Amino acid sequence: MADRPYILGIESSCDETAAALVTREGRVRVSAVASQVDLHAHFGGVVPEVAARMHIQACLPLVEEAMDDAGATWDDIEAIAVTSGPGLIGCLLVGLETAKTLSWLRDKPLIPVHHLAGHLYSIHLMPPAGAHRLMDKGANKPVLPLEPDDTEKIAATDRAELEIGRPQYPYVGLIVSGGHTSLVWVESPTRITTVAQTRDDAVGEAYDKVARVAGLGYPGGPIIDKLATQGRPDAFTFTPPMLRRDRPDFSFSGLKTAVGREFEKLRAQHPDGLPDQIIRDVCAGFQKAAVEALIGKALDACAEHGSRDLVISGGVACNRGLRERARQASADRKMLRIWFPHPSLCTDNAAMIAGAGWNFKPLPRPSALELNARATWPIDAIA
Amino acid sequence: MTAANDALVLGVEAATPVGGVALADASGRLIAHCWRVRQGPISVSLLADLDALFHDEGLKRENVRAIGVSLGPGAFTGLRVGLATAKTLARGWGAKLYGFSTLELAARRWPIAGDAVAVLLDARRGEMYGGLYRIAPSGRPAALRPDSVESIESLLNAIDAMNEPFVFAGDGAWKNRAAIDKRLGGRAKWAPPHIGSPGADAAAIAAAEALGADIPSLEPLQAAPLYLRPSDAEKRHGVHLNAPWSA
Repeated sequence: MADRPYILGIESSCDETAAALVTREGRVRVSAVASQVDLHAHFGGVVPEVAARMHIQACLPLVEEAMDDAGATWDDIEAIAVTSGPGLIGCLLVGLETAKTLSWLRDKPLIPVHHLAGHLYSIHLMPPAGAHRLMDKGANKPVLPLEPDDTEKIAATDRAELEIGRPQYPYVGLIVSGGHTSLVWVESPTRITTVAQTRDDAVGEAYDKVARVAGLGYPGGPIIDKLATQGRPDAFTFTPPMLRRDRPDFSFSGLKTAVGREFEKLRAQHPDGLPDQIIRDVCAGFQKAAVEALIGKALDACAEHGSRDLVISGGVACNRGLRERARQASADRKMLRIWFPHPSLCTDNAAMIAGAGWNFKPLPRPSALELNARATWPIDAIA
Repeated sequence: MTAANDALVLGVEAATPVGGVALADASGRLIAHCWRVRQGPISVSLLADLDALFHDEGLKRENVRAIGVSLGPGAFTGLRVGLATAKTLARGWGAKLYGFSTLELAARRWPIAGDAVAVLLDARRGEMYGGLYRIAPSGRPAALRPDSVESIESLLNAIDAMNEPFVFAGDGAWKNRAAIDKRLGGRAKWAPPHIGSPGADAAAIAAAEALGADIPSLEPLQAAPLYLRPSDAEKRHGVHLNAPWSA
């Protein structure tokens, strides 16, 4: 096939094991993900040791599955890209050791990729199915970076409205997930500077903790997002955290605590159980405050940097409240385009690692053999 | 001297602080062994040492027919690093994968047939990983009971009940020497400290034996570490996961 070669990507930084094959152009031929979310639901959050135990079972089978599904041989593989940090160290090491061993065994270059650089790059990839979304002048449009080929499935309604385009460097990126909340200035796939980050909980972590105190289950993000759409966002008012412009960082710990206290108070008032509508209303109020903090700071960063584009990625970028608030913001700021990757590329995946990998230099052999995982790794240091 | 095309067997040990890689020929004769008392992470040294082993000995890696790996018990992260490497190599080379108890690999070093050997590795938190074996006439250890993780008192109860002399080996045994001697008196014999280290050489030799005896190997895609311990979260939440390590 003319679209080969591929980079094989491997991701295991948290609770998803993933393998993917991506072309130089950015077409995702295969993106296989083994999610552990049901397992961690027993504990109300990700348990690092349990996650690592699942990675060792899933990683190699998933790599072989990705190769088989793409009909690829090792001659089709240009290099192996792997998430080497940041993340849970025991989890990272499983993917990294598998990637290092494959690199040595197959004599393929090894490319370490920063997890967040992968998230930021996902908007430049062609998802295997569906389209990214672009919020522009108040409209929510399907968009892809390339003309789709006949293997990429686009819904008929999206195909009719489809735009071809991608954000132009430099731009502001907002990465929102269970482990990360960062605003960054993205000059290229490999040159990224931190503008702001959370001082305490990541926003996805705050969703999980609020869901836990409300007894709603895990993961909190999709559950609260769904309930919030059925609730009244102004029935319970929570102050959006850290919206002072002289403090660029995020903080969600206080908001989480305030929502927890509200639930305690309400439970005391309703000893026979909280009515469902009250739970929906509190979720709507919490979501409104969290989303306002994210969008408010992102818009400030775009204004300060004169950015024409804002890319929002990471698992929380699937949140419908966040997407709707971004659409509204694009109506007010007509020069700003806000981009959201397809949900399959927002949550952790290996396609983003393989795609970003095309932009990084492989490690020389001795360094590749000795590469270690990094639990922490400032994104400013990757260039 | 090993000829360039002779079949090779690889041993991998990453479960204990004395990690490394080793190569043997198909008859179980050790060719080379690289081991380190770890100062840094095993993930940094394991593959580099493996590469050096082939390069320095002028051996072809595609001649590896079997891989022996220390499956545990031991340090969880090290177990996974060793097994991820061994699984990937086994699939890539089409080599057979044999997994061994880390405790059994240590017991293999005791050379006297008929002796009962107790290998105790420090599992921290006041517990020992314990394996009780009898050395068969072939030199291979046969388990007297399944490997366990338990307190030294509990282990000594089990050993005492067997009412025979035991050779003690492993860092967990040395750490508790006073308690062991007090409880068992003259029935406790002491192996030199190096006997307690499992080692990649033991894994390579054990795999060569398994290969020669045509013992069924592991399916590399399904091979799992022997943790013996559930995760702390499982214990704390009282959850028994339907997972490979809890089956």
